[in-house]
Amino acid sequence: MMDEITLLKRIIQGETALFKVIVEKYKDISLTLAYSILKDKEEAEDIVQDSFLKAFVNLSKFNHQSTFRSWLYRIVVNTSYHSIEKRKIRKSSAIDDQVMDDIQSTETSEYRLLSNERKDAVQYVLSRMKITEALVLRLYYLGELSLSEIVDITGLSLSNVKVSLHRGRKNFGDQLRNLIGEELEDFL
Amino acid sequence: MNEEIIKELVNESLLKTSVDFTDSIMKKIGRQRTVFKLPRRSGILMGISIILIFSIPILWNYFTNRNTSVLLPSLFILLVFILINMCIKLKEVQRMISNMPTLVEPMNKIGTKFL
Repeated sequence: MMDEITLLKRIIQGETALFKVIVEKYKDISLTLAYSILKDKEEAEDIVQDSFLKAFVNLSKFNHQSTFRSWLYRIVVNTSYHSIEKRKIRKSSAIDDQVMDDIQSTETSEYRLLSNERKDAVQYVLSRMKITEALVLRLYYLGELSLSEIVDITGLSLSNVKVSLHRGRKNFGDQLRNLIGEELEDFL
Repeated sequence: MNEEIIKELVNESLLKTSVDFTDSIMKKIGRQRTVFKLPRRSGILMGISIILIFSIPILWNYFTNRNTSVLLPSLFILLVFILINMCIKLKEVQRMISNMPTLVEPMNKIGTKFL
């Protein structure tokens, strides 16, 4: 398995089919980041496709001053923000509210959530948070990026990123607690 | 809430792309028209070289007090210069051609008609 720098060089030199490896590696996280901002999966997929195309076209301009993933995620985030400047954001319809009602009304003593309900609950909470806080949480935990990389991608100052991360953790926990209630221990 | 738990939960928010996502992107990449752009430095050097090439016969006439034609020698020198450049940049040309499927396919079709 070749390293990423060699892979990028070969793509720039003309082996464009190798770009598929890049797409496969980063597509899911890119989609999740775009979704954080756009709150619509279809639109997020379109934006991520555009972002990968932009990355491909501008690959020769990537100067390795940052990591490739932060460069790519910056394109995804900027393209997503650009898109919401043009359009009105639809209200989040990520999770059917009925699903949430079902979770909250369950009265079984031994509460066991199916894994998709747990995932839905997490998505629901993240979609209700401030865009910046949800985005920073995902960049930090999902993307496993450092604070300086997050600064690079979002354009926020380091102190803003730290504050967003701190508030994001707190709000995430609080909102999940409000949603799940007493069954939180079982949920975790 | 414990950070490890937050990490685990946030990781569960990972979305999956549709099945044909990658293929769709690769098709769009294949359709990208590549315009052969010289890097700026090469373009400037080439421009200067062409000016010098045409000025050689003119200067030759001037310093030798002759009045021979400048056109044919200039064109000959220019042709040699281009051929040398093409040999050096053969890989660039190959890459350019491989990135232009929109030209290659119709050209192939025309070619097979005459075979």
